[in-house]
Amino acid sequence: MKTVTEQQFKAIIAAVFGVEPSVIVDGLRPGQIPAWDSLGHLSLVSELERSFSFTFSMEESLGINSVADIRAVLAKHGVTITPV
Amino acid sequence: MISPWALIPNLTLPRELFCKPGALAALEGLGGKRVALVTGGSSLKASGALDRARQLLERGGGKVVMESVVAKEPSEPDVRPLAEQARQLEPDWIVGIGGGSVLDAAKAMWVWYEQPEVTLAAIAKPHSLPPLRKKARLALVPTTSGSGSECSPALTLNGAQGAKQVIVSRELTPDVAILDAQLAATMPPAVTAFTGIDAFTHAQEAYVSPLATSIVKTLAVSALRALLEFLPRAYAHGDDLEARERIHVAASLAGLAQASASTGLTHALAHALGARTGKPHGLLNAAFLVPVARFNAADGARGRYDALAKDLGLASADALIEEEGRLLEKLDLAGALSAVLPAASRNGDEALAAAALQDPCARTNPRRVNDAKALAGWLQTLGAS
Repeated sequence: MKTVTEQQFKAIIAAVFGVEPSVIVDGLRPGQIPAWDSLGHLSLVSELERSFSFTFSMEESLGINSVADIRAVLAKHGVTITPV
Repeated sequence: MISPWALIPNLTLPRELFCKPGALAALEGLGGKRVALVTGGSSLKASGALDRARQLLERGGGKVVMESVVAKEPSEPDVRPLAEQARQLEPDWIVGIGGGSVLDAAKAMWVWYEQPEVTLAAIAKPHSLPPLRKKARLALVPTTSGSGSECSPALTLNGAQGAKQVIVSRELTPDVAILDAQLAATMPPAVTAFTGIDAFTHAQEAYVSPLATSIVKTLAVSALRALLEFLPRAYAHGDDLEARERIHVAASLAGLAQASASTGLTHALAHALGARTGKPHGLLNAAFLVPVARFNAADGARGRYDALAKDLGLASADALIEEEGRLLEKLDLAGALSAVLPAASRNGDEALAAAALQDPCARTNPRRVNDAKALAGWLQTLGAS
């Protein structure tokens, strides 16, 4: 079990894409920001694996189509995101 | 939605890869009827290899309908007229024989021969190139041991103001690659060193890339082992054919590794500084290889360098970096950093740092870099050291 704050969760994704954390909203999808292309997606998965110490299955990796999907995968692996 | 094909690590390979000293003879079996040759000119001609290639193609029933000489890193204006000529002469095979620039020119000519309407902007997105092979197929024969273009799904063109433009598509992987180390035996020592360090950097940066897979690491380690042992030998004794063969194959293995996992900050800086100064790509890689490894291993990515060191039979990342320093000394490249850096580091040079961060290779550096000011500051510390 690992716990991160909402701020930390958004900061991890924002750092991968080189954007402000405020850009990271649940509805954000691949292609909506230039950095979230195929290479960005692979970097994102790699960074999430490093940060939370688990490996995404190929199905999970391919199934991420929004920030909300990332939350769902993290929750499945026992990661809790707290408001503060 | 991103295509699953773009997300699952993959490796594209030439359909046939011939590999042995003397393998140029494979040209006889190519089966081309009308062949366009793209070459680098004088050294190939002087060695007699160009005549031999023509003879082999003709003995195989082909006619060389077009010969083009490429003297420098190609740009679109250089290549478009060659493609136009090809459309008139209708070759069914394009054969590129030369260094990395020649091989990339052959690829680019092929693209615009097959697809004259496509623009560079339209194919900038990886794997957006329309299908090739409706008119011709591609065979590549490297005469240097460095770029790995003969096995890769990429081509690099000089763009505006010298900036590099990389086109990536599995369509670009050649049909045939011929690795004949005898053709590389006439490389002068400096070219051997520059191209060899380019290959070394491909392998190392691919291994530590976040995109590295087991197969990438296997390819990279094999390449790095060979380069550490045989590159100094080939540099010191150009006629050492065993060393030439080992580094020739290593360069292709490194090319395959980087084609799958990309490279990192060393290449990003080399591309950015190369666009500004025109200095050789290999020299620029030699300049940044060790500083970038130290930078990456200092924060976050140390485990990747430790793992690479272990795979190479070395104790740690520190031992690996020391070994790289010794390799550069043996190649008389220990002073590469001071040779290129004064211009780069003046006043922190945020523009250079920003250009490097725009390079796609920066995105696969194992230590995240996205702050131009911080990167410029780091460059300045290198200049001061």
